Amino acid sequence: MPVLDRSQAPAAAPFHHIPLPAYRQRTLSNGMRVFLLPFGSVEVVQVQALFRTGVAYQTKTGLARFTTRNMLEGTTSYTSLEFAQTLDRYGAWINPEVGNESLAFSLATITDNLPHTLPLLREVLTQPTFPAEEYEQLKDRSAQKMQVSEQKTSYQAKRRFRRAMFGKAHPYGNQFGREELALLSREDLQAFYQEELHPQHMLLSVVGKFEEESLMAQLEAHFGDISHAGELDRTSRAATAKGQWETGRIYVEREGLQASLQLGHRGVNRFHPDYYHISIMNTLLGGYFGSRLMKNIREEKGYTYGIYSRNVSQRYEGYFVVGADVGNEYIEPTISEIKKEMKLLMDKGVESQELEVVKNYLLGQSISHRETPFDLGDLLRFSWAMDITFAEIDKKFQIITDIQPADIQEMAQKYLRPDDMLEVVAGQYPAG
Amino acid sequence: MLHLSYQTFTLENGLKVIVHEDHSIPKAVVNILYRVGSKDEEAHRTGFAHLFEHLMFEGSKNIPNYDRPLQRVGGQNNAFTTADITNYYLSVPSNQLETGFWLESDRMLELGFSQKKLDIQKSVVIEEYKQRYLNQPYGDAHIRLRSLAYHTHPYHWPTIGKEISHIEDATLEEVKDFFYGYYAPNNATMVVAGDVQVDQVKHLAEKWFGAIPRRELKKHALPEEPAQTEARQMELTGKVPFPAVYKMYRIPAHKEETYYVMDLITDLLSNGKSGLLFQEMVKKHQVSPGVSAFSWGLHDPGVISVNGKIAEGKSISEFEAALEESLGLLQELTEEDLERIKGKLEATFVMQKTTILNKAIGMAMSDSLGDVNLINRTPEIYQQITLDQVKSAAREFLSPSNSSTLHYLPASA
Repeated sequence: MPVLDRSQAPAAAPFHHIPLPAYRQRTLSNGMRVFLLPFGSVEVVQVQALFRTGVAYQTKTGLARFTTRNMLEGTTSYTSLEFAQTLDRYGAWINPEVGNESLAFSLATITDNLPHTLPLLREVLTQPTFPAEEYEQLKDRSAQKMQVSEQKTSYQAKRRFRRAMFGKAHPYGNQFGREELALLSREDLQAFYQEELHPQHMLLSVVGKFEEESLMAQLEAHFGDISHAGELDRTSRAATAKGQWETGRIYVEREGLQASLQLGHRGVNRFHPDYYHISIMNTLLGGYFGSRLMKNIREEKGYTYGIYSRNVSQRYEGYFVVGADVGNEYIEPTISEIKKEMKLLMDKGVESQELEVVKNYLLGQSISHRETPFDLGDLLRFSWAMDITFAEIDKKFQIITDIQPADIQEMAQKYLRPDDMLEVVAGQYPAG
Repeated sequence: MLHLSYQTFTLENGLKVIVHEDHSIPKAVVNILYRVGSKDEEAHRTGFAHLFEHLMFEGSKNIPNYDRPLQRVGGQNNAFTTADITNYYLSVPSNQLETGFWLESDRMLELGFSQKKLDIQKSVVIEEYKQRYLNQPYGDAHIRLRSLAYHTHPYHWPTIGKEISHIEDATLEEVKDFFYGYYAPNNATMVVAGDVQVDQVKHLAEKWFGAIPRRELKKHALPEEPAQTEARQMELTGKVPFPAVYKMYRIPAHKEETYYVMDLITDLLSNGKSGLLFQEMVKKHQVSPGVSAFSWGLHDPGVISVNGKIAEGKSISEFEAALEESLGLLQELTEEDLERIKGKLEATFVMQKTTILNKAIGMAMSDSLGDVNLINRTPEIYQQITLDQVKSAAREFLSPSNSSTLHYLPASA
């Protein structure tokens, strides 16, 4: 056998882009739309009931989240316990997914058990009774759990950051905590259900391994008799809300060994023409394990177990944030290194070799993150909620392939503002 | 039930290789499990196996940087350390499989040891220790409780390390010794899964791993933990809003049938809203906002944990009385209750098999327990458990005299 040269990497192979599979759209006899996407080799399916509502449509903070949780606490035919036990028997899960602009009840089930599990999904959506006793207990338990979270510096930093970034008047500016919970009533929940979650406005999505005609017959049997009044089409409060956009240092003093940092500034929404370019720039700066922030602040300085930056682009508005938990003695050194890295990218840009790694990493991720019916179902929900087609989503691969070092520097110069950030520190400044 | 097919072969140097083909997406996983964990550490140098896991990403003999070449081909990686094993995994687009072999074989051959890298990773691990345990409310409860449950066996200390000073004091010489004592082809199992061919894996394994020398292992016999005869108790105060109770009950080793019975019991006790402890302690007696029970999955004689915070206005003794009463109710379980939890477990096993990575890790973990086919047998093992077994195991192992208890109290302001 020839001697191996272990210092040389094996030859790289080209990336094969696999487009997202197309999904079909059908309609039940009552006019309810159904998205169908056969996917995977394991006999499981994800069924989602989709609603065009969510955080940006609630009139009180936490209302969407707490209403959906309470819908699983009792229906006309099942107590909370009976419902949970029936799900167990058939090995299924029903979970609410509350987004800013979309809301789903998601059923994960073994395909063969659909005849038993679809009726449970229907039951939650059509017959919730919001039992008063369950409501009160859940409220008490939630408050106690939130009180424990309040001890965490990361909770404090994130809550404060959101508030200062968007302001109290903006639907994205409020995190669901104890104060907000205390303001909710059972009547609020019932009203939210009636107005926002009534099945007469829903549609369905099914992803997984199934036989289409048999599935359609079952959906027809369980959902086809609901009188359907068309999907809701309204304007999100986030579209018109006025943001507050504070900058500068906010210090939340908490005793402890570490401080949580949240640093950032306003960004762009998901429909901004530079969205993909900004995302790639962010990946290089702090969006993956090999990022500049990780390399410098974890791998060279050892200040933290992990540091990340995110470009959060929502339907309306967006922001850029850097987060890390660091020893109290590293608070100032970390903040100064974060700013240094942002400026370095703005001033000096990036060599093509470093960018190549980021590009390939992102291309590889795309294969990895499209593996299960649940991955695809979540993408489908996103696609529907944002009105972005699968073909549109797949355009990012061409953008990743084409992007050049000069583009990255341009994005950094245009969209990073190291000297004009909101800087939330939850922890304890070292003495002196 | 979903049966996973696989082939195994062993290289001359002792490296065992398991291949599982799944061509549904163009992705491949390389998972290497080393049979070394925190139980192999010395009592004055705890946390070492985990610190070492960090160093495995700091470059090897011929490859100065581990992550970058992997990211360059679109791959990603991670690792975890337990008391029993250390497991490394990476995934790549399947046409880049060889890069995974190149990277993994070089760090099995020899690490790029340096004092600077060691110093930095010590600092990272100390921040990890704070972030995950010391700076979290109740974060050190299990660290302290296991030293009460185990007096002799190295499960006595946590994988992150018993003291931060143990991590601070680790030397480069110790790092090297640890590597040559445990990181050897004859102490590892490699699972290659996904869009791969058995012949291709055989060729690549021989090419990249074949020349790595077999090493003499530092394995030593571990002390057996003496039987527990009476209840143990300790108290801890910290910056927490509510008192809390943490308990450990000793259970048999993973290879024993009763291990699975006890694991199933933790599911009966704590399974969302249908769990017995939720129904009794949270809903009926309202002594806690949430009680959880889980099995640690340890290879040697292990433990299960039960813990919960005390509801406002209730006391620790009310919590403990309600717990005793609830555990007693296991004796009144019906066939229907048992069938229900089996239904849930069976679906859980199916769901776990929807990703290549989960399958690869599951096969490696099964092999480390002595039989790779355990991944296929496990669902059946749970299905065979009888009501009598559940009741008798509950009586034997969930008694106060088999338990260690920690009371976590809020420090007075």
